[in-house]
Amino acid sequence: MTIPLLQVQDLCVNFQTRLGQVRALENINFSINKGETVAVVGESGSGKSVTASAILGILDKAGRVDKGEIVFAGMKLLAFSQRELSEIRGREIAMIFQNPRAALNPIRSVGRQIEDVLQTHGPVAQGDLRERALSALRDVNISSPEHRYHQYPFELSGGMCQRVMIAMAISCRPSLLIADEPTTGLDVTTQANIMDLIKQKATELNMSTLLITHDLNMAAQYCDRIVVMHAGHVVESATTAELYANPSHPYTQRLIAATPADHGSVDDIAAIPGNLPNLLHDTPNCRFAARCEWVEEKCRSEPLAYVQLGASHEVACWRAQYYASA
Amino acid sequence: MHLLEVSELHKHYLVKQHQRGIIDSLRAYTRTGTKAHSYLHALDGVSFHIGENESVGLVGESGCGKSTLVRAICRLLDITSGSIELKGHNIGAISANRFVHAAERAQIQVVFQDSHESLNPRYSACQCIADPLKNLLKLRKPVELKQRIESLVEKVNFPVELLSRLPHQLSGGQKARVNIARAIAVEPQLLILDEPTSALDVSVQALILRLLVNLREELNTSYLFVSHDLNVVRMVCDRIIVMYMGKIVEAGDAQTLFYQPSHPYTQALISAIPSKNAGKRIMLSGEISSPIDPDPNVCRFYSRCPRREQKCKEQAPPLHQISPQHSVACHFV
Repeated sequence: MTIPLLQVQDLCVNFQTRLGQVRALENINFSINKGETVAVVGESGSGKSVTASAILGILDKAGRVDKGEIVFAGMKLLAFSQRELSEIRGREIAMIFQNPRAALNPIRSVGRQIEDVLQTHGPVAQGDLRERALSALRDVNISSPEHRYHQYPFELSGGMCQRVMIAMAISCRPSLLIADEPTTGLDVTTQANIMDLIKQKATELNMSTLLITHDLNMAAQYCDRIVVMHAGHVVESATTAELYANPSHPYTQRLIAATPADHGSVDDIAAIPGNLPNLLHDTPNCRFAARCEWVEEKCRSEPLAYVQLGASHEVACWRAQYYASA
Repeated sequence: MHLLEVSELHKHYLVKQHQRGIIDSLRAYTRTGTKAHSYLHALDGVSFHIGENESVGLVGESGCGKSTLVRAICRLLDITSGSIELKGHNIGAISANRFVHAAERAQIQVVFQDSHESLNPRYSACQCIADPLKNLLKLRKPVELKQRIESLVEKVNFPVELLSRLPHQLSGGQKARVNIARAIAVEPQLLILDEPTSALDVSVQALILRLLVNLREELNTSYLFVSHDLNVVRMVCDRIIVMYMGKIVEAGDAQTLFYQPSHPYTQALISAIPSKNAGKRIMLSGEISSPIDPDPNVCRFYSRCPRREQKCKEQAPPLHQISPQHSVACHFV
């Protein structure tokens, strides 16, 4: 069996707030293989972005990893100091943020910002810098890069800014790219262009991608595997085809039913009842229990059961094992 | 007679010289030989209608003039030329300032995009809903108000016990419901929904969409539904209008437009919708042409169109009917 590029094992993250402890992530397990594209899908507040921050070691000060392990290419990232992590961040693991205009430096031209990244992460001769930055811009299909080089983020459209972010992220040839909602706020046509670009670059550079999104349709179109999160738990993870063919967690089933698809009318989509539980308070062992139609006493009292339904299909629901045998 | 008839609507914004930059001004000067002001054509000859109890979707990229159109129809801004007729009465002729006091004001209501931002943070849910009742319907009696508000929140499935809460104490779905209740409080003929579900999670989106579909039947209202989520538009709307840079490029029955789009832009738009069984993508390359003083003889989509030909540069294609319910602005359809 191949060793995954990134492995997240039993990750628990807590946030210390004035009101008490928020258990944002509980026993998160998933892995990404070399060259694979994996999506983390869930509602807002399900812990998608916290997972990404934990991997990069950029959790908010109030957040703390209490338990678990993040293994990246054989290295245990949680044992690293910030200085050691900064060697990996940007060079080995790069991230694209949600709002490109806010993530870019507003008072530095985009070309200079790409040069900054190149300079920080590797010895580049002063004379080559400009050429490298221009080729990075060319790489992401930005027209007239010589002109764009001197422009500032406010002069570029949202899609263009996101391209610059991608150019920056992949300029050091990382082996893992984390894209946190890379297309929110962009038009559908631009969104499709950006996603195509990410996919194309990932294939070219044999780069693994972790796509964080709330859009199940997008995850299904671009990703090999989908990890579904709910209230800080991974409730189901499977290959895209398997997840759609055989959704086994009630939440996944609900999520698929709630997402508008190509066909069907408004009567075909069904809302998911209830809200995410408040993670400040004690939650039942299965955090979906309050919203689940099949809930039984066992769900609340017994520890969350992870059922293996196949080589790469895992479900956090004890009922799933009966489906599997049936 | 249609409920709303918009014809040849133009909205041009004056672009100040210093906003254009000196080089561009000089360039314009050398091209035209005049020092005339330049204008941003936000809406350029938009004509369409909305029938009684009809739901019309409006889609297009950001910057195509959707919001300008919405603001023009609900008379939040003055138009350059054209007419907006509500039941045969030209409300486009009333200035935005005077429309505040016009009788038609209650006929058109808007549910704005961000349900949190559009609620007054210091008004409770109850006060938010009571506001239009007091100001537009001149309801004063507390008993009467209370009755109306209670029946309204029941219509939108908002829990009565939460009426005293402030917006920050409500969830996203609840805020959306307050916004809808507030808009339908005065029983408008036309309800404009500007991205009503874009800030909501999918889990709640389905509930709000179903609520909107049911409300239309119950209240006999027409909808103008603005959204960038084409799947949602298809579900809620009878007809869809596609805009591109201030012009309507295609308008037609929702199902036809979705499954057999005719205009190259619509085709690209539909093919870009993410889906697990996505077909062939139509890539749009090329720069978006500038909306400032566009050449009236060139098709607006020319610079990005995969089917462009010499003809498109010489004469801009007019919006023409290809079947009774379907019109397209393209030479090749």
